[in-house]
Amino acid sequence: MPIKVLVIDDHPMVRAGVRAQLAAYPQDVVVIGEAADVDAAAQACEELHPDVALLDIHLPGGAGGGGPEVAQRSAHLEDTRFLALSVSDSPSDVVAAIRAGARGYVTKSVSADGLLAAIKQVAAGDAAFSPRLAGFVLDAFGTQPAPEETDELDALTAREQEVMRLIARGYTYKEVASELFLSVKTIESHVSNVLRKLQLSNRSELARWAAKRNIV
Amino acid sequence: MAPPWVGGVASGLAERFSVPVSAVRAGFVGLSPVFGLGFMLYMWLWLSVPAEGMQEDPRAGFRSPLAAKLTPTARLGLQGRPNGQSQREGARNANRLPVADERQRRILAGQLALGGVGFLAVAAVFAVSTALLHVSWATVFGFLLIAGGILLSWVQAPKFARGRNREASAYVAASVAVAMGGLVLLMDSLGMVPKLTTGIAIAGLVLVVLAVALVPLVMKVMDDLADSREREIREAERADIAAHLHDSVLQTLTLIRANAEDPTAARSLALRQERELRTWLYTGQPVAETSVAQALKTQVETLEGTYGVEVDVVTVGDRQPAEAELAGLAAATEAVANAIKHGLPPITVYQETQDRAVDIYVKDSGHGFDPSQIPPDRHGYQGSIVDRVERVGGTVTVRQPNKADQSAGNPGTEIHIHIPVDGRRGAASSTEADKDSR
Repeated sequence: MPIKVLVIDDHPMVRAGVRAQLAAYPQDVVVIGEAADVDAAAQACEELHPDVALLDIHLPGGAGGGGPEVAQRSAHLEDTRFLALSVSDSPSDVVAAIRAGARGYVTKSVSADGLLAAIKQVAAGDAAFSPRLAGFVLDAFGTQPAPEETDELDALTAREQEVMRLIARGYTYKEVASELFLSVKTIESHVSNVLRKLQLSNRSELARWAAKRNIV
Repeated sequence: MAPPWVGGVASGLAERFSVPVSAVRAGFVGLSPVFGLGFMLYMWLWLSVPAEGMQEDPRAGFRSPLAAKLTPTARLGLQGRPNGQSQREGARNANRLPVADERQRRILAGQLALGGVGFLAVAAVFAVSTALLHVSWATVFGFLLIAGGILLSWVQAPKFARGRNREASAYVAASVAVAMGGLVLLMDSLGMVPKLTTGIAIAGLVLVVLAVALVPLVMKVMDDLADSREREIREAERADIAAHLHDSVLQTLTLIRANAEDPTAARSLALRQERELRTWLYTGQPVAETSVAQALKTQVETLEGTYGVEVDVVTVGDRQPAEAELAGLAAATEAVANAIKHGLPPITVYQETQDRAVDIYVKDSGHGFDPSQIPPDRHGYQGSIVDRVERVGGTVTVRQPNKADQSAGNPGTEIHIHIPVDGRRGAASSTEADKDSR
């Protein structure tokens, strides 16, 4: 059952490019629609119920919130998950997308394989982490680990740090799993936890880091 | 420099001649009853201060060029020196202080001349009227206060244009009060008010009525001014962006179209332009000389441009590069070049900086690399990478991340460069000067 994908981007070239990339995997994904601005995107999500929505950060229309606004407006659609896809990898955009509910972030220069892998991860309910996003996370939460396994939102556990570091070094989930002698499922759950922390944390360090980079 | 009370004249003089501020202020106040000398001198010095744009070096902190001119240049170089600068640098800076160019110098000279003449005239009037015409000092003083107050409020006009509304309004209010005070004094001395207090009360009421009548109008005018200024700034920025895009991106796109048959060239052009545009868009990035992260990014970008292969760089933490870090960076650059030449994409670089160590990982997804298998005559790996790093006390480890998992394709290569460093040396960021105009 191929994954239903909605492509949201205001550049027709980009939409065509993504379509072409995904056309090589007809048994895994199918593009069910496109949208070019915030209102059209929110509407398409409501009507078409995609499994994964590829979301550009900078979109015209709506209240000016761009991609994050679409994610917020469609937050009630439980089965639709957002994967942020953007040419900008500036920290403010990345963090805004994650905190608005995107479950991952890939840059537009990602290969077709990388894009497919990310879509599959997000469709399965996991988080798609690019090395850059992992770098941001380490930067924001600091590289000193929390004392032990903790549900504390404001810090990463040692294990989570290890996973983030390996992802930042360019390892796929599979490679991380084999490196740490864990199952891929465990890695995925660690990554999901980190995503949740990034979304919800009010840690002062995160705020300070964001302020230092002029993110409000 | 001590915080300015009225116009910064006392504070500035105190700074320039290294005397306590309170002494200067006492001097001004003490001289005032003597034919109003102190007051006159203060007014003259204050009015002859040109627009703040003249001041090149904020650290010198003295707004009036007058006293700077009173000091010979050699002494300027010595005294005007902010901490840490060399004497020659201090002299250069101090020389730039008073005037930015010839035209401003002439304007300043004109202002000083005018001021000087005015000062003399006023002093003469004062002397003549009190000594010869037996007019009471209060009358003349009253006149002068009125004139001074009015002049002062006019002088605030440029500040309103520059949007410093609150400061300028405070000055205007103060100068209007001074003028009113002068008026009351004058009328009292001429016997036109029965009691001084009545005079003050009337003056106060007049002020209140005027304020209520005029303030909304003034606010609206100031708002309109601010709006049109904003519009101007936006236009200027837009023109700036258009020019930059025309010069760089448009040219590159044309070149890419011309080179469409050569994918490597096209990719290389596109990469280079992308990096350049990114740098231009996001100002406030650290400077390579003071930041390990930035230095690494710059060097990798150069390699990208040369070979047309994309390399992902992720950095966490930062510090100022010293010899050890630089050696590590050079080794890492070599490793990236190797990955591009002998490995396969995707190629990633991860740099993590902590208090005690800098770690750089260069990973590619090629066929793997076994150091023991290098022929003895190829020194690239050993010389450029391992020796360099070990010389500064670091280590180089090579591994094949995917070796165990045969079904996953290529084993890949990861080179880990570990450089121990001492203590914490934060990286410096480029100036925030660009944000000034916003």
